[in-house]
Amino acid sequence: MEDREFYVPYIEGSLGSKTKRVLKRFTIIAIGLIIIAAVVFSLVQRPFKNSTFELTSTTKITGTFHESPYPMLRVKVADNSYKNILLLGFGKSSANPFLEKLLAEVPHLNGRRLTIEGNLIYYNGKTLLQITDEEKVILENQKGNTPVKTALAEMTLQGEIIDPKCYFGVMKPGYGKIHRSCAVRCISGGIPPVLATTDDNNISEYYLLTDLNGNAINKDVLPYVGQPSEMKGTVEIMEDWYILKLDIENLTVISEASNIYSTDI
Amino acid sequence: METVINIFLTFLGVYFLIGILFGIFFLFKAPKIDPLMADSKKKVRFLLFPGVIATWPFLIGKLFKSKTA
Amino acid sequence: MALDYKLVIWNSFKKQYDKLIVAGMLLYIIVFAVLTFVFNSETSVETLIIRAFGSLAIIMLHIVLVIGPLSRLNEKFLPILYNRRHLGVSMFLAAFIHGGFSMFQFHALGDVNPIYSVFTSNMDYNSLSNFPFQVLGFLALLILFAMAATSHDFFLSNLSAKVWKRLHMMVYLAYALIIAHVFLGAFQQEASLFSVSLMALGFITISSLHLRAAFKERKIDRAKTIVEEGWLEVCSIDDIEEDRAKIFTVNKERVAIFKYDGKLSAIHNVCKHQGGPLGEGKIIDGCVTCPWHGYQYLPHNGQSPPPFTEKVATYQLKLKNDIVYINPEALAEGTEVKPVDI
Ligand code: HEM
Ligand code: FES
Repeated sequence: MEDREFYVPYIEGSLGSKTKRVLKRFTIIAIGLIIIAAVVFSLVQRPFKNSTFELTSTTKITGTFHESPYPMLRVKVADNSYKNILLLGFGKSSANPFLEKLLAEVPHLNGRRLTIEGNLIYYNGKTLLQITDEEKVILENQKGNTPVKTALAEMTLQGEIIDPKCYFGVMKPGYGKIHRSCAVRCISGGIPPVLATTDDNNISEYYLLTDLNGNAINKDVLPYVGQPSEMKGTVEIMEDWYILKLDIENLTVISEASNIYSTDI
Repeated sequence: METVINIFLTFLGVYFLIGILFGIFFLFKAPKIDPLMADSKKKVRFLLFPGVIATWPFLIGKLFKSKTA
Repeated sequence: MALDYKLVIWNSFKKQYDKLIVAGMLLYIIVFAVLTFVFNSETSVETLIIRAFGSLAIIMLHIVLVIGPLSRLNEKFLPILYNRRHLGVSMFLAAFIHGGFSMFQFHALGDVNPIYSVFTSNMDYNSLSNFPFQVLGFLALLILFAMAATSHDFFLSNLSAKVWKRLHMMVYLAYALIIAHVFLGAFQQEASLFSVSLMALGFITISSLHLRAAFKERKIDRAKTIVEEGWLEVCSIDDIEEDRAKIFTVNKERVAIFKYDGKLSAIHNVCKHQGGPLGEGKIIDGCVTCPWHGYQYLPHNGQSPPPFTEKVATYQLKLKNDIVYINPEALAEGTEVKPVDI
């Protein structure tokens, strides 16, 4: 009993051998815990999508501007084949503030050709462009054709309302509960709301959401963003995009897990 | 719920604002709060700065006590 | 025990301790990052940082929380407790990187202030599975901030030991908030049997260690004492080791009775520094030395030796037939009491 060890930090050599052994064992267990935890927490992460955001490089794109109702640039990719690139602002904001300077000079931008330099975002066939500088939006002399919208059918769709900026590249994961707050901020800030769906064969489709008159619907969808939901509306096709014209009354949050969770690799 | 949030965040903002003001006062006049600060290095005040911001309601009283004492 | 305040009172033990903390944190981040890049290479750097530091912070919090009960159960763990402060501050920094990055990533650059966004972007406060879990993390981070920012002896003496202790007991509230933050947040979307089990195991370890330590201390508080004309019979003289003490609870206060140089003295058990148990300390150079950080008190008057000024309450003792009796009335802090000769 006499040799009970007693450590006093400021007394050299008071750290006894038994105490040292306990400290060593504690350190080893702590390091073991650190490694186990790092292995568990890193390996349980769900696979991330191969979506891309070119944060550090810019690309110049020329196309026909249209607002249907969200600002887009229509680009020819092959004969009779067009891609509509969704335009976005910096951070969680719409492209509109970056177009204002031009709009002051040319009130009717619809159908005018623009060259825009920005950061590309792309995934699963969809392309988006982030504008960060109004000086990099240049008006060309020519005019172009805007896409035609064709009504398809009245449809009931299940999926999740996402903000396309994060979903198609900026964030991983860009959907679900973890991302919900951010998606709300983005859509509230003017990023167009998009419904992402995945069918049983693992095919994903994306629908730009508008109200019944084809106008932006950002504010109305906010409470439903980032949650599995079911909605009914008229689907239109506009070249490479679907548009869902929606009465917000026909939207309900559903309790089952959205299958966009399990299938998008 | 929104009112609760607004009240809470306003409270938090005011609390930290006063805290920062008091913290700046502390950076210059630390010995008024604790006489031992007079003999301590100035760097210590910067180390204590965040804590002074966080706990100003408990420290501000010292100001008046030390005057009467 | 201080005449002025230092940034940190360094010694070689603390330096080694801190090197281990930094090495451990780096090890975690590196293993996490390497495994993620190898097996899940499509990750984004922001997500990597948010997840690595969030999970690191909760691991560190577990380590912080087991140290207390471990050192109450076995005094050989005390050296770890001695510098726990630096571990706590490092844990806050990890949590701050996680919370700060999350707030920037998910809530900044939008149409409202990021903090306002944390509270209002999701208003499902009355749902469990949809609960705005970020709010819980934010509140926990506030607590951890207040704790880390007051981890200095300046605050111990200026906030008063009671306020300081209360503030630092809020670590348990922070722990509860963080568990809820993880279960209502990340685990709603990214749950795995492994990560959930790890968290559950952590919770069981922490709560069972605290329970065991509490039981051990309850024995002291529950020990029967016999009253005789205002004096309490506490133990036999042989129950106390030389230069050590035994702790008894009288009038709901814990008292340490020390035996040294053929004498007995009793002082209040609670150290003026951070409330360390003086009765688990030892007499060194004639002074009661606190087991936590080594503050010293003279056993016969409860005063720190000059130039220091700390004082604890003292008690009167008497000895009859090798049985120790104590007067349960505490004397004013620093009152001289003549030690009982054995
Ligand atoms: C402002 C405060 C905070 C915010 C906004 C916040 C936000 C988040 C978010 C968005 C996630 C999900 C991340 C993902 O899985 O991609 C998360 C997860 C997590 N958070 Fe926090 N958090 C905060 C504070 C804290 C604190 C103080 C701790 C612990 C000390 C903590 C520990 C964790 C853990 C362990 C996870 C799960 C693992 C992970 O995914 O990182 N968080 N937090
Ligand atoms: S509690 Fe720190 S020395 Fe006693």
